[in-house]
Amino acid sequence: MTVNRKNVSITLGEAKTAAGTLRDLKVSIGSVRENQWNEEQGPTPFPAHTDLRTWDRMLLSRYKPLYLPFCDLCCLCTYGKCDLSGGKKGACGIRMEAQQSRIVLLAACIGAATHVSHARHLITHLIDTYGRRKPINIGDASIDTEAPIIRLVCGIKPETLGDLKIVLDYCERQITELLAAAHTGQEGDAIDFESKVFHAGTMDHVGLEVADIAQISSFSFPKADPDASLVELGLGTVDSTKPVILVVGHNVPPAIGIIDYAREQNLSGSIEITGICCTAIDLTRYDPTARIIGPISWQLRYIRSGLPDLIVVDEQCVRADLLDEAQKIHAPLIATSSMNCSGLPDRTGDDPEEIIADLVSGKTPGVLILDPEKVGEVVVRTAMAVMEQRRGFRTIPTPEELFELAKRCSGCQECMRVCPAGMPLAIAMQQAGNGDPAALASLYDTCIGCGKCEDACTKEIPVHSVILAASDETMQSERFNIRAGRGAIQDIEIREVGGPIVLGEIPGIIAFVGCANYENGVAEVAEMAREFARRRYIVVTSGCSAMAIGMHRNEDGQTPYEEFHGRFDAGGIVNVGSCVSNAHIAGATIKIASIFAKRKLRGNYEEIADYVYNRVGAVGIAWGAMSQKAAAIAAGFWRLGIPVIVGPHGSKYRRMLLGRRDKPEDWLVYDSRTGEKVEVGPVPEHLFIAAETPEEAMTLAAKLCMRPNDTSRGRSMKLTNYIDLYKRLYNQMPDDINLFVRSPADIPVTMKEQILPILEQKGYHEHPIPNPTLLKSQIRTVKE
Amino acid sequence: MAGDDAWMRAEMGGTSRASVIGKPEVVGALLKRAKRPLFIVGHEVTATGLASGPLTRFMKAGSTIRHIPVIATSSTARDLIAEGIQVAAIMGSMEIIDRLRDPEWKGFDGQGSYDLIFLAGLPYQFCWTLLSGLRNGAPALKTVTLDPKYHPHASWSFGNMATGPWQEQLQAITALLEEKHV
Repeated sequence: MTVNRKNVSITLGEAKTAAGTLRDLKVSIGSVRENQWNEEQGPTPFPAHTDLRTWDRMLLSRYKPLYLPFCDLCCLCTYGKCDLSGGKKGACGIRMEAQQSRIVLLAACIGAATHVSHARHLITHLIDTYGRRKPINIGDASIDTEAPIIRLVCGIKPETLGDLKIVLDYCERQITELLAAAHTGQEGDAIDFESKVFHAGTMDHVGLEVADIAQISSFSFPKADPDASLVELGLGTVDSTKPVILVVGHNVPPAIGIIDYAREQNLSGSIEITGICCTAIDLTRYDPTARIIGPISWQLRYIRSGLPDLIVVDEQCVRADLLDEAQKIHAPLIATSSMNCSGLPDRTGDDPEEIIADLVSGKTPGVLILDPEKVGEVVVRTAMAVMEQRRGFRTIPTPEELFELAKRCSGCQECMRVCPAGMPLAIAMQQAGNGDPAALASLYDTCIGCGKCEDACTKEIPVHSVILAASDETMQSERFNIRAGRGAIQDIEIREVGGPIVLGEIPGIIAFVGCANYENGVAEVAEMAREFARRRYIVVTSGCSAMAIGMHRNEDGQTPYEEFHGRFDAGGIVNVGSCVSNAHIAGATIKIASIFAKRKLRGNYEEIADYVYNRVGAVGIAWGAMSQKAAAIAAGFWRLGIPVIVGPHGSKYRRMLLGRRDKPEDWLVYDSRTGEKVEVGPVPEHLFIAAETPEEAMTLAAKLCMRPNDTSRGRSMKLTNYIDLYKRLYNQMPDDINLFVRSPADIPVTMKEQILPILEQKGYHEHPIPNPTLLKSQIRTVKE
Repeated sequence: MAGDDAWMRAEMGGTSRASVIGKPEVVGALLKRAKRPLFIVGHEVTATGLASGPLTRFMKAGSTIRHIPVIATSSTARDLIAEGIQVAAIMGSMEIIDRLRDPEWKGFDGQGSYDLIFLAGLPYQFCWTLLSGLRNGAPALKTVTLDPKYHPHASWSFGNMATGPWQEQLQAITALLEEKHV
């Protein structure tokens, strides 16, 4: 793979000049200075998809795709439509399996492209502001390996913002090639499509890392700080006596422009800055006094409450109808990203006085401004000017209106037939019409705020708003907290927990990531996180999942962030930050291989992934994931050998990657000490699976944390957690224990009496514990 | 409400659609022809309070009279056992579907593959994707959904029904099992 590292790079083996002889002279202009890192280059720097195809196919031969087609048809070209059901081929020759994996590839490419383009927007802005020589610093002396993913994948050690541009060039080229492979007449093999999905995931992780290390380095975000501030979360935290600004999205520079302008004008205490989704998380990394309202699904409820005086949208996870919603409460909307222009006039080049005048007078409902600094001035001044004139506009009905609206319900159930959460809307609405809104109010916690029920209603009831009316008090009293996103994991933390994780004595790392389209509200995520933290797993989280965890109190009134510490250690709940901070979760597993185990990192993907897969008991839970970005993030984890569990809605990814525990021949590894093939059991059993309930997900997660390398003590601890959770869920012992007990020493002491009879019944036999690897290249020469 | 529209309005991806179970004899005939039927039961059977009703009685009759194995997903097992139903195995639904599409899989009892699958109590959209996986991955397998919501990806499904008529249908099917041993 040749990478355009920009501009000029000349290497001279030997040059004789009048002044003398020069040997091994390297001149680089505008490129990464490679002499900063003396580690030997590994086999796959800047890999193309095919460079890691062998590794991918190794994983995919163990975890075979199960396809759950969303549609029988292929509608992508004008040969069709083609019906691919029942084994039929399309006009181009494609079969259903390949078509499904092709769609997964498209989703993963969209996700990866979104993160990489977000990174590009950030880098462009930050280089414009701070210069290309701005050093990368994400943890001062606590972080030596500042970019584990970039080092691993690209084989370079980035030192400045300018170095990151080269990394993005590479990602953009790879994503373009992957997208091209989805064109009619290109790839036709399902497993090769899947391998490309993995590659899109790797590009996604690289893009995530670029974005977050750039913004941590440039803004005053917490730098790998386990004690990052607790910040306020919830609609009830808003001080509505001040002008209230809402920012929605993921790209934080416009929101920072607002804070900076307010600071410059000594207005910080006079305005209220609030956020939804990842921009909110990053906003509080910059200014802990800003407020997070909630996850993606809080957009309609917050806007309809009438609290925001002005709405700013950047990119990703922004509802497409926010301009309409903003107009209903007479709040101006300012779009700030080329990703989402919202149909608004581009006023980037105009005088702020003119823009503000037009917004305040209502001459225009909103504007597009692509300059974050100008956004800051226009937003603050406009919010202050419109506050008085627009207050009082809200679209949530009064209690009297609620009753009248609910009486209209005919019980046709059309609302229930579009509700992703499957809520009993019509029943609750009819009860409210009869004067009892309690059932309607109880739906608030489960509702994901999509608003589809309103379009479906044949009686024009604003169903979502009526739910909000019934639960107004609950909504207004939401006051929680969350630890601000800390960023990366410190090297010293990795050194301290590396051993216990690899040996299995910390039972696992559980990562709660992804969007908030939960089956039964945010409480499920919070309860799962609590359960694993109590069991001394390391719980890591990011984005909307990190918010969901914070929106729940225990019996003592504490949120999980108050109840558990924020260190990357047993029993911690670690909020790394926004979506792009997911890079630090993958990065931590890579750093265990690099820092703790001292494996070579540079361009050495297969060996590190093999290490992580066989030794690091990490599992992702994307309980409410729904976006293409989440698909790409998951794909990056799969390639590292880290399993991901999704909630019931995750079945709509239309493809699982499942192992078969009933096929012992699938679970062989090499013992790197001898080269012998050794059976290690189904660990981890699956790479991607949807669970039906949180209880099932927890049981699965505990099981999927097992790894071939676990010591007996570690396996015993992991089995204790798995069996305990299983018994609680099913009220009986799991029937697959024999597959995970390699020797009597693996059996938890307190469970021996229960386990031994099961082992006898199953015909159990002992297995050695190997030094496991899937790679022949890792087999050491047997000493004579 | 139309009986044979997908319950969730947007779930309409197939070129073929499930036949609606118009009368109990349809299920009776399917049972009569089946050599290796199987129940897959999700957690909503009990979460929605349906367990004590005719659905559970049908499963109980099926498992005792026809020896149809009942496979529980998630927390269903505990509740089914409490209802007096013998649970043959506990397994996540994705894992079950993965095995059912494997022509070499010998079943939970090692006696061979199944030919008729009854599904009940799974979240609608989750079940929709599972059925799609089976329809495409195991086209010879007949699938029947027992919930009162139409599932286009099944071979046979009840239409979208109110609780009362649905329970009557299930009671009639149970009677066929108990009285005529279909």
